[in-house]
Amino acid sequence: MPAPARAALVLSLLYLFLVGIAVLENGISSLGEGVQESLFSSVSNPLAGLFVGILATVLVQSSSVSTATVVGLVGSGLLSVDDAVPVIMGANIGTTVTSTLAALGHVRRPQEFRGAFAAATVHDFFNVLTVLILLPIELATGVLARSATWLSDHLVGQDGASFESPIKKAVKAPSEAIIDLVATGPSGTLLGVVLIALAMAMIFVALAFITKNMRVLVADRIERSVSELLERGGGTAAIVLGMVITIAVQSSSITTSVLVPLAAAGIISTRNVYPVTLGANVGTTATALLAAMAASRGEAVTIALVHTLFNLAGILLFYPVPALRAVPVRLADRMAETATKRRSMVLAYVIVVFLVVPAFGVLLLR
Amino acid sequence: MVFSFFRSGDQALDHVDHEVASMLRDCRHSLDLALTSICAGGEDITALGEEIRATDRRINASEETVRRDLIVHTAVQGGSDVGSVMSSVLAVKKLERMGDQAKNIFDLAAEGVRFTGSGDADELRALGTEVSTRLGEAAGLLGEPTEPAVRPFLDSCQQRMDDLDRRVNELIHSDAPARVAVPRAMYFRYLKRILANVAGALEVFVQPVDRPDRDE
Repeated sequence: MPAPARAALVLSLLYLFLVGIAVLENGISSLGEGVQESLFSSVSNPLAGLFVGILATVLVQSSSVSTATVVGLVGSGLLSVDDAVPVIMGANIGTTVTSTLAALGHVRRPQEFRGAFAAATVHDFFNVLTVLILLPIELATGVLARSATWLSDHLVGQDGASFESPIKKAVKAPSEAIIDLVATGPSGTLLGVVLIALAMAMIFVALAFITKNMRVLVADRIERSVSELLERGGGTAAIVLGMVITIAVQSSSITTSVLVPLAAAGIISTRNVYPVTLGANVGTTATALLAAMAASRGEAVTIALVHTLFNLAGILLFYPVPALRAVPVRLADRMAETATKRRSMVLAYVIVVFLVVPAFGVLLLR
Repeated sequence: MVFSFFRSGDQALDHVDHEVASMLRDCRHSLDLALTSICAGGEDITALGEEIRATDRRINASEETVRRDLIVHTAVQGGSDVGSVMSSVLAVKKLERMGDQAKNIFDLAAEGVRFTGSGDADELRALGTEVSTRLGEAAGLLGEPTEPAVRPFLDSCQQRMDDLDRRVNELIHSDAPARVAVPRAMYFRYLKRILANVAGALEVFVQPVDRPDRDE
């Protein structure tokens, strides 16, 4: 497909994604109050919310999908910003599973596996450590939510005010047409369920194909800039590069998974993978910000900004000070060392950390 | 590195092709220096040696760069052009060996071997110059290595390699003293290896992979 046609396709998919967010909001609003209450009461426990975020992201293999959905939920007024913050943090942890799975491809070759697994798990460690520090602080002070509220107040108006972005206006007509079409059949809660399912499918398909097509469109640029990264090493520019690539392909998993085979081949160290990973974490928040532009309420922008601020705060915690910067890197290298010696345990690690613990957490804490 | 994401530039394996072409230029430069050291008289052998070693380090660095770029290429773009990637890997390995073989010719000169003043000096010099010219031709062909363009080059390389083999065999059975026969045999052998490697580097781009075509 010629590049201009592919670019036009990406724009169309982006529009489909935004329409999906608008339909999702309406679908949630169509659910009965009792159903809404029973569905989302579980995430009022912050730890349960965190585990829901991890589990949902692992299951859809995309933090962009899960955070965009959270934005839709907050935009519909069903989920409060405070309840959504742990879910967003959980999504950050859940998204690291993709690169860890990519590292498993090297499990039969110990030398390659050591580098690949360290490159993948440095992302895990950074996100888990950041959540361990920032979640209690957020629960005690609400600093992230308050900062995001202050920012969104300045960007889209006072809290609670109806938020009418140009994007919202642009997606209004098609989303209403879809809702009217679906509403000719079911009604009430069933209508809500059908709309939510349809919206989730639109969001998932749109993001998957945006990522696929953007990857083709910018592959040469990624290749060129990663080659330069390997020549010059890490640093702040590597953070920005990770951010730029992730915004371009709308997937942090693509960015981090590209680094895994390079680490396996021994041409990039965990220390140099790390800043790119940090940038990818920030870059992936662009999807939620975009989704917030199609939402009805200012709180949607607030939760999207919480996602960005959380990742920026993580960078401030674990990057500028060399001693702290080394913590996730050393933990990942040590874990890779252990994993190489006990490779049979690696799959168990993935299943326990990304599926069993979150699933039990949700069941026990809801 | 961030700006390189936004600027337009090389497509896919273009940068690898540039690096391979630069490697080939360095190989030729290294061979020319080695020929000067062994075929001419009164040259500063120490300075030539330093330049040959520097060129060889550059060739080795280029090989590493190409291999690294190919890993990045595969990681980013997937296996859609695995054939070109494999060909490039094989080609740079052969080119890297050419640098070593040019250095081997220089090592003969460093051991005191000089063809200057001998009856066959012009012939020996001409053989070396011909191989050097072949490297120049190969650089041109590497830009777009197609079967019709590459095949005549490979055939002429093969003819010269057979000739060099014949010369080595003649020296094995000749009555010439060792100080005459051995350096020439080694010189012919290194020139043959250089030709074999440059031909091989081009051949990997045009040689079809065996395709089993089974009816049953």
